[in-house]
Amino acid sequence: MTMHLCLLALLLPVQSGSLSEVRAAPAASQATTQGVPAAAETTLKNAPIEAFQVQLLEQAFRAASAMPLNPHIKDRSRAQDSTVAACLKLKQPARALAFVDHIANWRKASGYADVAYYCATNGWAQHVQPLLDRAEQIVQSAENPETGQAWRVDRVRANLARTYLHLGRTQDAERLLDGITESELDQVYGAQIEHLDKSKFDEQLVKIDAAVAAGGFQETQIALSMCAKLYERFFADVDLRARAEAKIKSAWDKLPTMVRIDLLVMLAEAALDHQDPAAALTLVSELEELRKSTVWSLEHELPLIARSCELRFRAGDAQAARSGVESGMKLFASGSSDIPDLFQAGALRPLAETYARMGDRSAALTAYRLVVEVGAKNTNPRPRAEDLTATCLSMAVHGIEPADELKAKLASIMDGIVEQWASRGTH
Amino acid sequence: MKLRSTLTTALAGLILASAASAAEIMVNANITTDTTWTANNTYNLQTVIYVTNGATLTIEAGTVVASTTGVGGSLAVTRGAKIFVQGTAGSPVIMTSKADTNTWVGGNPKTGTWRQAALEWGNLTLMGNAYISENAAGLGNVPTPSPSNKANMEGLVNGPSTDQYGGGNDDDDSGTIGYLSLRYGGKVVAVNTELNGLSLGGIGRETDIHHVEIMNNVDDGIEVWGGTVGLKYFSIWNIGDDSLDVDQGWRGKAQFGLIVQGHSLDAAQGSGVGDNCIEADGAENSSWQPVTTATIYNCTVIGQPVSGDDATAWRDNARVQFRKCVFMDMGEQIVQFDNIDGDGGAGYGFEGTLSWPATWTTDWSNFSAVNAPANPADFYKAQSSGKLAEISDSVFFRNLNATAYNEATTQGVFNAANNNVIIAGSNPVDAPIVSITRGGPVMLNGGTLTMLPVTNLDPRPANAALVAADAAFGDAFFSKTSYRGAFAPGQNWLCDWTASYAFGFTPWNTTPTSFCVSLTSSSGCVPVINGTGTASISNPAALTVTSSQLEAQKTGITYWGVTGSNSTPFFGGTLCVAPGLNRLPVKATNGTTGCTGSYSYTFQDYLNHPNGGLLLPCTEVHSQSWFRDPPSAGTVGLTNGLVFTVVP
Repeated sequence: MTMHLCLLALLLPVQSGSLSEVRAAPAASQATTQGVPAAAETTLKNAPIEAFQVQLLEQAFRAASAMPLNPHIKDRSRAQDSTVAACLKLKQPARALAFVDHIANWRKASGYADVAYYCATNGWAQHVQPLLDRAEQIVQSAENPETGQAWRVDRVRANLARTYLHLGRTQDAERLLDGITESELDQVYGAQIEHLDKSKFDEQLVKIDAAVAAGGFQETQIALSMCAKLYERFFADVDLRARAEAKIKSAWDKLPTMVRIDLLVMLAEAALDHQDPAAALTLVSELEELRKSTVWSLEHELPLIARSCELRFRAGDAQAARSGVESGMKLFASGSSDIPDLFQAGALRPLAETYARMGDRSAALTAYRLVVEVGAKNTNPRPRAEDLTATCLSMAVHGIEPADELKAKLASIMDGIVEQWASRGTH
Repeated sequence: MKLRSTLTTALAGLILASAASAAEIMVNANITTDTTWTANNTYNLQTVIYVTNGATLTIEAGTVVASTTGVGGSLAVTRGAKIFVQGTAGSPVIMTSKADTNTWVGGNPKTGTWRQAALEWGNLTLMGNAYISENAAGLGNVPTPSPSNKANMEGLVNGPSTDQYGGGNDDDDSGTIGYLSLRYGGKVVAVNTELNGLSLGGIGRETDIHHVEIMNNVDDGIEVWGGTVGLKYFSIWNIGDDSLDVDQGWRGKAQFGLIVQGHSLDAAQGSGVGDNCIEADGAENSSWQPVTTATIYNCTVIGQPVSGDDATAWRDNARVQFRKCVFMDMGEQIVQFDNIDGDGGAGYGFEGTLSWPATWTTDWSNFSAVNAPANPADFYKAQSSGKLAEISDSVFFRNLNATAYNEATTQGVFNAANNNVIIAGSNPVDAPIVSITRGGPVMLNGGTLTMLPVTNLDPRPANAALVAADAAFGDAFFSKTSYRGAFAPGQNWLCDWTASYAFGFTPWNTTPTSFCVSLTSSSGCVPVINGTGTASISNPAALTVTSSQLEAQKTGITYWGVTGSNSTPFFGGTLCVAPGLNRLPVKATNGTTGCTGSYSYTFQDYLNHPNGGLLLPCTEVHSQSWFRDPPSAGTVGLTNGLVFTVVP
């Protein structure tokens, strides 16, 4: 048994009973969820979304697909894959599938695997196996003896295994997981803990204690991450939640800043999901202190600011959240010249998204205008196409409809990209 | 006849025509918009040319970048920009100096003469956004992996806007490099430092690099700082410092590497004369993360027996696994414990990190908790078994320094479980490669250094390198191999695109040649197999393989393989082809009586075989014929063997 299977066994014993629960769990919510099938439906269907969201998704895909296969097959496929992810966030599986069909490299397998997982968890059971088969077939032929890169294949295999585990088909999952990189398994662990039975809590905590006591960093990190997931899973039980939190904090000193930030975000989100804003605010304050204690370049600090502001807003501290995002915008205004233009939109976009999540559509739109503007600064079509794709997807997912002048600007950038590549005869 | 001369003849007209009509493009300005360099031009770098502003530079197959000697032209790809080097086996991209191209016969890039030279132009530098560790003053970096940690690229002096690398995306993509030959480089404009042949700073794993050669460079051959980029098929010859140098938390994989230590200049060691074959630095400072944690399979490492230094030098917590490698002719040790890099690093064990001995006995999965990243498994994906530091399933030959194996032995390299083989003695017939020829001694650096340059090399495996202990391991990066070293039996991936091939160091015989012995038939004849012509993929009718003096009115076949020759007993005769036999269609021997039978195939028949895909350019093919001979003791007849090499 490989190391990751050992860890899986150590921390997350798979039991047939819990897997049955996994299968049963989504069904209860399906009836009230838009975009999931009625019992007799067999054709994959998209949930209703606004027309502008459809337009943005399609524009994003066009921008991604405008990149020529030679030499940009990797860039193009990566961007196309991001449109698939956005479609699934918006419950658009049929649209996602149509996009996946156009991907030209290994990410096509990744896309099919993503849609398969979506189908498995959203009641489209009859579509799952054909998609898994297609993904596996592609990934098996993806090995290139000259340029082979294990992580690409491993990422798809872990993704496929996640779906098999969800379906209770552990043998298929283990076949795929055997020999792959541990780090690709986060999604597998996450999917499992969500359905852990309460009666297993103590058993789980004992195993976590053992993993921490063993002293290996990886075991400790995974154990504490599991603790954070237990905190979320059993938030409603004050005693269990407190014990999970205490377990994390008891190993706190061993962990570096980034781990603590990640754990604090997980805990804060769990608190918010369970309507405990006071606890969330305390956790957000902690992570802000941690952020301030470390030196960051602006292009990396702005997304962290956006992250904490969003949590703060959700916790009810709208004023501080707004103030934080505005500070971020000012920081960008004063410091953007230090960021190469091709990275500026990526640094700024999270702030626009936070405005959107705060419900301030006007501020979000203003920020998106700036994102589009800085994203178009670069004169080369590849970074422009990547930024256009990312910004269109961001607006679609966050439900921000571009005003007419912004639509025109997006269309103009798109035309420019197509024209640039067409004029070079590389399309 | 050598393949090199064959191709020279075949291509001369084309090359001459293209050389005569090729325009020379003087490149004076940075590349800020998408640009394609085409094979019908040559490109002459006049200064350090940055590919910047997110631009993409595409270089077509067959393009020559030949810079004015001594001016210091160089090419650097900045963070966010991309390069696509689209060379092919028959049509590589070459980056070199005018002094080199002046030695090409009729402008043919597959010719030329090796010179004792370097520093004639700059290099190729790639800078990316993957995680690195660097503690230099003034950067504000932190010991834990951070996307904000940056480093200044060695040898570049334009400033932070173009010269820094590092970030937070280990999946970063700087493009693709395939079939690229870099020669005679290392010169820096305006400052008194040197450039590596290929510099890779913070390069992410979605960047693809395969078939890269560095011939003659004043500083290191390939240096990798941080990042996760993988390397496949790399050849590094006559480097003036370390041939392969990894540092600042490289977490990649590498397979199929040839290192031939030598010199490029008459200078001190490290500035023109080879130093270590492989230098592995962990992190800066030693306790920072990421720390170099890598795996290297199938390297053939050939040192300098008199004045060369070490096969591997270890510093600052580096963790590297070497598997299925060949280490031979080293001047000093196989494992050199330097501990520190001389740049202020504190070495193994610093701030609670693993000690030097513990690094060799600790499982790969035990990541350092000192300054650890959020998810170490995300950072350290290159190793998947064994110990953090390891040399296993490898073969060692003619490492004659009295201390050659001392430190390696201390660290358990030769424990039985590691399946390493030290070949006793120094007889060439026992060598783990087919052949090596060295020139006479070259005295350098005022007579203090002695080089024995390699002038002819057939690096394919022999003897203890023919079989590896672990033939089963493979993943989507590492190809499964049943042998040790960088070359499969019968294959030489240097052929037709490298300087070592053009300069005649790694020639390849294409004339069909007989070998092995026949089994005398029941009629008392000696059946033979002969070949006429050349095994050309583009003209497969050009080779005819004929078996004659066969028993008449019988049936027979010819079988072939690409894993080498054989000489094992077979039906009372000798099987001349190594395992992995592929049978061509059955033929009638015809003839009338006695041994007047014969049959023939063309190379097309070989290509039509289901395994015809194995017949790549530069592949050596062994063949033998078998026919029915009921009256004989074994009831069959066998010809001798025929070997030929596939050309494009």
